[in-house]
Amino acid sequence: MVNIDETRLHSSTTLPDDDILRIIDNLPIAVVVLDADRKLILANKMAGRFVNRDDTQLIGLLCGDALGCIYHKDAPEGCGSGTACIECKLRTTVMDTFENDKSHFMVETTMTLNAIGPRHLRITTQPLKLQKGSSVLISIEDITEVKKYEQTKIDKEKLTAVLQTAGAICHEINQPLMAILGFSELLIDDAAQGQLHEDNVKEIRDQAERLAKITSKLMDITKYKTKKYLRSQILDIDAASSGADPDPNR
Amino acid sequence: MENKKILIVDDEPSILRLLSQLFTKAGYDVSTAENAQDALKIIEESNIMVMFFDLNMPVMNGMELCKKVKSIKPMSIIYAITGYASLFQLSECLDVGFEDYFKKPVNVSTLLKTAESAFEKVNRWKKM
Repeated sequence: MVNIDETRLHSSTTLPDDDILRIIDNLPIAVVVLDADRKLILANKMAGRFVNRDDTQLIGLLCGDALGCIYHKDAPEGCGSGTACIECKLRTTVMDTFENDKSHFMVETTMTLNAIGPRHLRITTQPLKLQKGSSVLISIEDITEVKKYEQTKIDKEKLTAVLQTAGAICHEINQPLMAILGFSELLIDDAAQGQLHEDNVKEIRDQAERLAKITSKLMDITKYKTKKYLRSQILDIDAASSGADPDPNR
Repeated sequence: MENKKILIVDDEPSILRLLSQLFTKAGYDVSTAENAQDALKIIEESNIMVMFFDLNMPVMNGMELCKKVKSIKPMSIIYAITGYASLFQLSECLDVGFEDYFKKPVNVSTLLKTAESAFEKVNRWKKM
């Protein structure tokens, strides 16, 4: 637990108290302090901006009410007692900080807030011992846009991998498929003329076996390796497969 | 059947055997090459006007080969056959001078019709 009377703080703060408060008020991150009743006793400007309210209006409100949590009026007992509150990570993190004097660093959670809708938050809590009693300092970062960007990037990477895999499958399978279909056509034509070219029958069998090897390799894929295909990349099925055949195609 | 020569370039031996049999059976004089280097040698030494190139080949791919052949023989009619290509690559094929583009597996009758129409075009040009 952090005690504000610690010598370390006093010795490092030659600034007047008003200046310290001004610094806290202008921090580029939302900072609030809750008292033991889970009511806000401090909220900086960024905290107000975060929920689209004047920061001074937040003082005295319960945490869920101050943030504009959509569930804060759900329970008759009040904010923090609803069914959704049991699973609220912000609440459990704050409660753990209060009950066990334990700080939490960069806990990620999602909350749906009245003013701004669903948000992805990163919260850090720190137990404080103020003159008024036990308190918890919370910093809240809205990382919704970062998460969206990360998700878009992941989706793009997944799509690229799918396209590279699809490309490899098309490339590997369409070769024997064309040979099988083509030689079958020739066989049908030959049969109509009472001829049979054994080599062409064998070719169909060989190409069918090649298809079986390809599907077997596809099931043995354990790595993601690509190779150049014209100006793009496709999955290198041989390199990606754990049962790689040194001479796979012929 | 004189001058009805076709060149097939593909690094896939089974496809070369198939197309060689198909076009030979249809009465064409077929040459084959497994790579661009051999193909260029054949093109320089003969008067082949109709060609089918695979796109994905080692060392020099089908697009590069087509571009080179078109610079030597601008009137040649060259078709691309590929196991896989995107729409972007299709547009690139047309840019480098391919007459048309087929995705494997392509029906053999489609290839025969294509060759027939290519030679009709060549004959029409000769009469000009």
